[in-house]
Amino acid sequence: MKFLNPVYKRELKQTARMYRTPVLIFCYNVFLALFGLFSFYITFGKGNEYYNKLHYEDILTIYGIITGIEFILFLLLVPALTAGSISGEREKQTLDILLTTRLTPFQIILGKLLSSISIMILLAVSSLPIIALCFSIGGITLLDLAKFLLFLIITAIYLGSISIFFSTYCKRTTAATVCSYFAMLVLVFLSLLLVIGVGILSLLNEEDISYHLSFLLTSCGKAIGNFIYILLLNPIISFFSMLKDQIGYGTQEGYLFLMSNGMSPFCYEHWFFISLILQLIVSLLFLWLASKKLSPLN
Amino acid sequence: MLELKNLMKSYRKILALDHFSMSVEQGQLFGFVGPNGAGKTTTMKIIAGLISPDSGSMKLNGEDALKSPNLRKQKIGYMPDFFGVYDNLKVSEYMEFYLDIYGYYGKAAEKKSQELLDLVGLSAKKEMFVDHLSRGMKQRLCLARTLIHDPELLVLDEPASGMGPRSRKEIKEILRQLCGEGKTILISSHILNELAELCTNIGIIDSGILIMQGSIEEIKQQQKAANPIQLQLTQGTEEALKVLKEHPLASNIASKAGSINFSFSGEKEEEAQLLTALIYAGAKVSSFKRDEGSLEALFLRLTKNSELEDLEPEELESKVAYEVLKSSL
Repeated sequence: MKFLNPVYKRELKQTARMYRTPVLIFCYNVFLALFGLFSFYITFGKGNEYYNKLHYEDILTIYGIITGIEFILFLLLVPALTAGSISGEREKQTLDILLTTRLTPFQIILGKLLSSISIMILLAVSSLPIIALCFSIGGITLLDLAKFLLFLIITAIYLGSISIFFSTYCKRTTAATVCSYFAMLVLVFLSLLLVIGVGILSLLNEEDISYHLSFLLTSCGKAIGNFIYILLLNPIISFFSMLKDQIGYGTQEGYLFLMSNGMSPFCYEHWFFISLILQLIVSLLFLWLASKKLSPLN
Repeated sequence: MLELKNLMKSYRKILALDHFSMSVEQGQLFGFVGPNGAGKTTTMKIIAGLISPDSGSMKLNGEDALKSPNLRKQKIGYMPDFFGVYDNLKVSEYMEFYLDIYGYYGKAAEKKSQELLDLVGLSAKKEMFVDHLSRGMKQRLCLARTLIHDPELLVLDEPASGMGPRSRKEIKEILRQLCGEGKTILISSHILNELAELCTNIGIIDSGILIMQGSIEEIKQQQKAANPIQLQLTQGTEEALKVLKEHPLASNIASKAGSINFSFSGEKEEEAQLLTALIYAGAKVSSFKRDEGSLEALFLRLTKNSELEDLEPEELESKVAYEVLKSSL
């Protein structure tokens, strides 16, 4: 404990005492379990009724659904948990005192980020028994699960650092929360729309539009060109690339990668790890900017 | 110990500090007094390293403190006028958190925490949650927190504001004790009398300018020289008035039923010469004395009421933002 960040230690102690924490863990898991069980029922219960046989490969779809729901919960929870970290200190009038201590602005920010990530890790670990439903039939390995956990942690760092950046720049938590969610929307949806938009606009110049529309996504890939690399920063695409690696090409999640025929084979093969590394680099950049802003003498 | 020279600070068009200079010597309990919005908090935040001045210099033990934030963090203990505490933390845990920041762990942290809580009289409350403490107790806890790294200079922004008389007395005792232990203390207030009975030296600030600085005795002496002289006569009022009207150092002469009040800008020697002249002119003087006046009267005379009197720096910024918005519409 001696070498842990003091802000992180204090935050952990406070979080553990809040009634909000167990309520959050409970609701999170109930929500996830309901979706998991429902997808089980739809896939196996209904399937059994109509065809009188089980498709064991459907477990991969269930895995995709459960992990997808968990990922969406992460997208929604991380900004909510981190956007108030610095602005909250400012509102509570505890920030000035903290800034006059021996702690550097970067240490303060790091402590805050670590505490948010810890809660997210706690949520992810607590949900493992629900994801383990998929192990009951097989097809998913422990390595896949570890990869998914790693992905969740990096997503928490990525979105958390963006939220902390806004928390440092905005004076009020409400403004910081709005900005964080907006930034997330830009990263997740607008980046995707931008890339697809660029592809479609390029196709409009082509003569045989009907041909291209029938293979829209595939054709887009060629037209988009280097714009596709913007999606390396999109966590949803990283999630799909993880699913592509785990449950294979040809599933619905893999369709987005039809657009990839404009990119280098290396990037296509290692999209998941490249995107995670890039997202970590962007996180560091946001943390650095936040600490610059937090420094009172800047 | 601390030397501020020509500090300038403005929030957009509003000048908070205007060529502000001040010096605090080692071991002084320096009272920094001025009306609300005079620039006290801005000055203190600059000293603590929370705000950068637009220009000017700040030296701490002869070293340029503006270029060395670490020096400030090491030598200065800052207690803001308004501060919050963390929810769900006990008094002992609050201290533990800050002790951790300064590298105190385990037994060493416990010992230091006990020592500081004893000093501020909060040992019995260490298992209480911080947000359940009274304002006075929170102030004392914050003072204990300020002392963790044993700073040479304590910068306390209105530490007794909002406190009851008992808590005020207690905090004054603690400050006297700390000063006796060799700490230099810079303490602000907008009530001069409150500081006069505690501090060895006083600086008066108004509209971002230090208008007076010195020991309490020096300030009282300056105040006295500016007070009117009361002259009581049993006979010869006319003669006395004639002498006073002709005297170059006497002014604002008012006479009423054998009593004359007048301003006199001379020193003790000139006062004695004037008294001799009055007696020589035929006035029978039964009493000749300067009005003692009060520090509060001096403070009110020295500090002008400005439009921004009741504004703190944050409010000043809001006002600036409002003015900008108003002018753009």
